[in-house]
Amino acid sequence: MNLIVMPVVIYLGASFLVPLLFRRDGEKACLAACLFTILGLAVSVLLAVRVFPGGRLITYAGGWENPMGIALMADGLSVLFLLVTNLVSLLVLLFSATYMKRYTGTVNFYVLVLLMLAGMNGVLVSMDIWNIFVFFEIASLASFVLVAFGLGAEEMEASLRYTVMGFLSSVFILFAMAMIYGLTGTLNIPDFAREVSCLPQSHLWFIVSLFIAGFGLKMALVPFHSWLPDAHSTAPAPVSALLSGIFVKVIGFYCVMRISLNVFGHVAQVKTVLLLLGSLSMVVGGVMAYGQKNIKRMFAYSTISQLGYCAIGIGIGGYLGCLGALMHFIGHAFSKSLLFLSAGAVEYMEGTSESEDLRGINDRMPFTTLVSNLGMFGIAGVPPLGNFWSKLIIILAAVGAGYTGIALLCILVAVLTLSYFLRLLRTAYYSRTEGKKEKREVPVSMLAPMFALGAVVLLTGLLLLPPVRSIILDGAVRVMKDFSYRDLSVSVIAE
Amino acid sequence: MEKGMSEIVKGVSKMVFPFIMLFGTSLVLYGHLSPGGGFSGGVVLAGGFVLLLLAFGKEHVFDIFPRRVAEALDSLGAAGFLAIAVLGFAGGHFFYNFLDKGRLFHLWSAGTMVFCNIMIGIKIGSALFLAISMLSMSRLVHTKDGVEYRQSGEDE
Repeated sequence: MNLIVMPVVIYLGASFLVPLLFRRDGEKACLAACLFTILGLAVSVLLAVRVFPGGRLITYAGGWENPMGIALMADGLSVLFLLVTNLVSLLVLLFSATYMKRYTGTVNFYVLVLLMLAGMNGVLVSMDIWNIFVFFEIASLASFVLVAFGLGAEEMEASLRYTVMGFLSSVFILFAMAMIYGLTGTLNIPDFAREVSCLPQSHLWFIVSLFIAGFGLKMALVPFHSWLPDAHSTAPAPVSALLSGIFVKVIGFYCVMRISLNVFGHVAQVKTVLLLLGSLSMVVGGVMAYGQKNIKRMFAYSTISQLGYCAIGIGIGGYLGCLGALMHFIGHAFSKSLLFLSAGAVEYMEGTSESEDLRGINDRMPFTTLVSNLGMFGIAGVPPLGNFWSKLIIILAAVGAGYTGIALLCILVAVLTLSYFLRLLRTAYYSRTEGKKEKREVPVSMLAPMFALGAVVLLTGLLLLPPVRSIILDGAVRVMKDFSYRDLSVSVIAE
Repeated sequence: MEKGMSEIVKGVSKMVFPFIMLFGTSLVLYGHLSPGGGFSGGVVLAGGFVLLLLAFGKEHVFDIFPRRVAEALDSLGAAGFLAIAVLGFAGGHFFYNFLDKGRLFHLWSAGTMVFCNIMIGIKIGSALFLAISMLSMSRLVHTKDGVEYRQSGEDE
């Protein structure tokens, strides 16, 4: 039995079996979705046990060797992403068991989430650019529908805009792939990574820029960001949590990282572009978030701003830059999904997410306020939490590499982030209200997943402890820093 | 007024329908030997039902090919395809062609490929039919405030 294909098989199987078995029963569908996600998480843990000590697993579909078979690979980086993806989605699915009861057709919701997970897991284990594209499309199509799940006019508009922008990114990537196939005759990543150095410079730059534009659009780097705030703020809370927490990172960040670091191998120009776009998204996202009145919209802009840090981390490169980007991804994945879930909880009880209509949430929902605090501090980077260390590492890396201006920007945006979250806490959560204070907390079934995510956020700071770091992070950082697909020799492939 | 198009269209559609089904099935079954395959065969199969949908109206088509069945077949086709892929583990690999390859250029000559094609044909046929029949579900209604789409069955 080959472990690498299992994440894809589990989620694809689940998304076809659930509508077959539980066509009308939302609760059973949710239970089944959770069970399948637990299975997916278990497989990722098993893969982690095999891969984290070092090395990588490679398999070919159908047992066909290189030019024929479709290659799948799991190494430290992809398994780390698999772990985060499956853990976040499990907790989000547990949350949606109660939250989604307000919607109709919940079976479709679980099916679409499972399809999106199948796509994301598929992107993470593929080593064939066409396969990556197919899974990328599966995940994207599911997310387009999920954004419109509420069927309101706003959701439809956001989804339409998201769809148009999403297909634009697909066209860029498809075009780049067509060029690669035309020039090198292969879509297998190691094969064309070897051929890349022989290509004419003009072709090479065109391909690289198409890839950066395509995946950067999905990562919502600033000139390509306009779809994200609408899509992420109008979707149902669990969907926002999945999209902002993991989707943009797996489909955007991970692919940008693989393409720019492992395929084209640390090209200086690509890094400059990433540094520029990263700084731009960091600042623009932060400033836009400061002006937002809607809680979910603010969180969505904050996602753009924080993804800027990740892009800067890859742009700087080196051990510190990669480590910073990776830690920032982990911290942000958990904190941002926690924040969107807590915003969903507020919306669930209060009926609105406009910060002007919300007063004194703390008086009515103390526990939700507690986890919201944790999420906001997690993203703003308050010391013991993971994102403090990741921002510190990125700043140190920037100073070390001679980008003092960018380091300064990082510090300023960190202060800006803290300031808009503190302002939100003061106006919406801790403001005084007249009248009697009745407790109206969300049910335990929604609180428990949020507290679990909060516990994970608290633990992210510990990732940097040397024994933990050497097990979990160092393998992935090694992949980012040193690994290149062209080094995958035939002997390794036959493993 | 009677539903659907004129008697001539209905009559011709009724006559052509079995042949479209036959052609679709042969495309699906001989996909590994000649041009065609699960996808194109499935599209032809769905096209047959779409022809009936246009000629007779959706009630008639849903009588012979109910939505529930189409939805179930849609999931079943995909799940079946995945099952064939997973059964490949019997030979040690995902998607391994574990069946006997038979004789060249005969129907039984490609192991699991025939079954993959059949599953894709079922999936595409039912999914495409469902997608097109969904278009007939909502209707453009002119109201005072402009134009809106309504699910059919809703009151005017």
